[in-house]
Amino acid sequence: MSDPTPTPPGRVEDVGMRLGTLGQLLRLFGRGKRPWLLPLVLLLSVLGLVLAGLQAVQYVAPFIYPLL
Amino acid sequence: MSRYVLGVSALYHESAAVLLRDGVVVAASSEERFSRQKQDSALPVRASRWCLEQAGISMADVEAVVYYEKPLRKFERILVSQLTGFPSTLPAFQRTALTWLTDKLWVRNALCKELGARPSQLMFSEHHLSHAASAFYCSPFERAAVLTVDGVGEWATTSLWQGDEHGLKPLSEVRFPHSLGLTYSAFTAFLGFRVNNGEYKVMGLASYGEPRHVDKVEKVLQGVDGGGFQNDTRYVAWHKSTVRSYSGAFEQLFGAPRQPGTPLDPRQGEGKHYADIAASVQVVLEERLLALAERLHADTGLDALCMAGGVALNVVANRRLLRDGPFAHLYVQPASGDAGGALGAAQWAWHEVLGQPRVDPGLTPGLGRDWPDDRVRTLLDELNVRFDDVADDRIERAADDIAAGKVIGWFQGRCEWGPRALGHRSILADPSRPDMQDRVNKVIKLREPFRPFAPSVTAEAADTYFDVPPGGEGPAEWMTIIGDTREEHREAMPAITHVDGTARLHRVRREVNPRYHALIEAVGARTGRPVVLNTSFNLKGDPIVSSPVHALSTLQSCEMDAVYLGPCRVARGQLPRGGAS
Amino acid sequence: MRFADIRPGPVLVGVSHIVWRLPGRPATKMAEFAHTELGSGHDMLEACELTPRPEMRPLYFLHALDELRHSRMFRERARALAIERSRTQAVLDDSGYLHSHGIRGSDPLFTELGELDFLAFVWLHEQRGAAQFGIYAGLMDEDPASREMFARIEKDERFHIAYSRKELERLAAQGQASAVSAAVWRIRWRRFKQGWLRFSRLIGDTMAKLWLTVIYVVGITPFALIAKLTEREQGGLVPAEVDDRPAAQRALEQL
Repeated sequence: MSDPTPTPPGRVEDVGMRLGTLGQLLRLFGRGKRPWLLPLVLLLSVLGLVLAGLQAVQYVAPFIYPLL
Repeated sequence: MSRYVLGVSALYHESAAVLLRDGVVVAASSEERFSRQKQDSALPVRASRWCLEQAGISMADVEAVVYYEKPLRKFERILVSQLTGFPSTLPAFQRTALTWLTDKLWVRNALCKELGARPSQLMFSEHHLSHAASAFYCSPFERAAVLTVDGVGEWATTSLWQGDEHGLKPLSEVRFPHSLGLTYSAFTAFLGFRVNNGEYKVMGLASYGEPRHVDKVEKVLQGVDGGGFQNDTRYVAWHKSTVRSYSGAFEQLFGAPRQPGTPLDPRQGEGKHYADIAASVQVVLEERLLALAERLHADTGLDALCMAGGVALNVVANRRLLRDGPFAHLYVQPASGDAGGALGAAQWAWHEVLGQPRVDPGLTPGLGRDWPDDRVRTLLDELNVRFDDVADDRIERAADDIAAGKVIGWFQGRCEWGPRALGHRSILADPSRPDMQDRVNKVIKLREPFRPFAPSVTAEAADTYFDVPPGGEGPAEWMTIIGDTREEHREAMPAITHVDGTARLHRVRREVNPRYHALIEAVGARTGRPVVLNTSFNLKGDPIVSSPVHALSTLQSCEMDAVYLGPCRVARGQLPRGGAS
Repeated sequence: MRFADIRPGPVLVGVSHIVWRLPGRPATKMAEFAHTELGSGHDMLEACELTPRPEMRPLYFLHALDELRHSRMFRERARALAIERSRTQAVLDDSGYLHSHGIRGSDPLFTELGELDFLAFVWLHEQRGAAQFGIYAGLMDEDPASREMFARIEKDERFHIAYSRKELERLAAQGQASAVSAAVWRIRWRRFKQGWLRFSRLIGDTMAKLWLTVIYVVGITPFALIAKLTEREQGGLVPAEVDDRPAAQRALEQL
């Protein structure tokens, strides 16, 4: 049997996938029926990336939050 | 060389993983069977890993990992709903935006990180498409109308499809916030049961009531021309709140909600009032489903109907659809809830993305974990659990126990796929004993006394004891339809006949589950009726047991008499006592 | 090596005195304990299945049976003490409790830790449990049923402490003293790390909710107005949106 242990994606690949997801999200709103929602989605996307970034450094995150 | 597709459903209700080899299901399991968290919605990490182990492959050997819905479209729906509900949606916005931004938006990352998939392996189906694919591609029909009904997927809450040699074609749909599934769930919450878990209790309770409140329920959920329906959103709150599903206006209409956990006697007083409400919502649900079926029949001209989605688990409505609806044949995908989405996602990818022809998917009741006989013996030896080795006469011994009025746990072969126990992980008893329903409800399953149990009956004897509408034989094999216990046998089998004379039938064919079939026949030889009371092997609030240690801990926790673990019979008294004792 | 028992600190004693006197809190605490004991029971059942050492299997099994029994006892007590029944029931019904509180991960604890660290975990965890329950039993002057329950559970915990300690001592005596000591410290460090991460998550969630509240209150109004004007909650059957893209292309996208 082959080894079923997962190999987690690297940091760069992880960020790349997140950006890809955000690209698709913006495309959904940009090309869809609700382009007027794009600014809000953009704002939430930035917040999402910040939160994802903080999750990646969660041990030091409590020191970073007060700076934001 | 074989080709593999892994289907995954997760993050909302019951998560699951299903592995196809050349289009045939080789392994399927909900995550809850591993994590022991009832309706676990976390990514099915252990279920996926087990599926791969079962097939003897690694993730690298899988051609596609298919997630069962489109997460971004779901995010769109949630965002738009919260905007239209402004300014009362602040708590919901805080909660959902947080979980989406930190978690649910990044499904791709999670699938790669947790399951070990590569981004190039990932595919995304659609929620109702996954349900429709699970129903159509598992059905025996070459061409069929397909109806999927649940709470909500991305936007759709109900979808009508046509399935044929070209695949699945979407016809029409009802969109959020109008939802049959969420309506039923709102009443489930109002009646004091847990949403996404207690809906079948509402269905059981309905049989005790009179549909006196149909006019009020129809204020909440109205039928519209063309077979569809709509909710009056003044009465519901699911589009504005993550914790409440009905509004103050709803309470004004129906009175005070029942407090969860309080005693409920559906035959009198307040309990009767709640039973009447349950009966009313059940009638309205059936009417709406019938209207949808009429429309689907008119649109497709076909005589076979396939169903999936959580609402398809309403076995009472399924009988009504077959009896009073326009379709002659019915197939209900047995794991119709979100767990079944994993199956449909994989099948959709196999047939419609990878372009492979239809095959028999090999759906059998037992697709989960297995425990070989010798492993069970070794385990019991090592645990210092005394047992009788009944490898050669387990059928006879179990039949003796059942006929003697004992309640046994039956743990044989692979664990079931789907929410129903179908003779692999079942608690069994003699249905003819007058006290058996009370005994199993109160001291074994530790659940509400009004709830009925299902009968398992051999296919050969099914018609003698039960009346199932023509076309219902297939669904009866998966316990997805009810039948009537024949008048002359009702008194003789009180434990499995519900108050309205119906039974949630499990028809057992020898070629599908030979050992279980033989057991029921052996019971018949002793009691005169090849029928056993069958309920899932778990306690209230637990998932169905999947390993021998779960079975033993269940035996210790309730007043069951014995368990048949593969070739071993363990009686209650043979278990070691707790540590300090 | 020394296997020092954990003694309840003054902070735990003081906090317990306050918490258990809050109205409705005993029922909620009991409901939470029902979840944690259930989680421990499943951890022990998994250890029982996974351990490569057959001699440990019955001990883990007995331990699991105890934990599952404790869970039922807490559940019953929570129901009996509930003032606000629906609130207690909601905690009892929360099937995601163990995940959302970081008590159980996606992998079995035994797999995550390995046998030695798992034993160290059991020994430390059960000591804390016994100390905690001992304090609670002393606070139940007006509730003899709960006092008796805590006393019974504490007795079981003593057995769990005893077998895990005995096993660690046996391993230490077999020349693995430094490995055992390291395992105990790893578990202490793990506990500290988990506490810090919980704190980090709490701060993170609070800050994120603050930002989201600002976005909702300040920024969302114009979008909400447009949504209210343009979005139609159309009921009934509508034609399905047909996606013309080939299935292979649709499958790759999340939208």
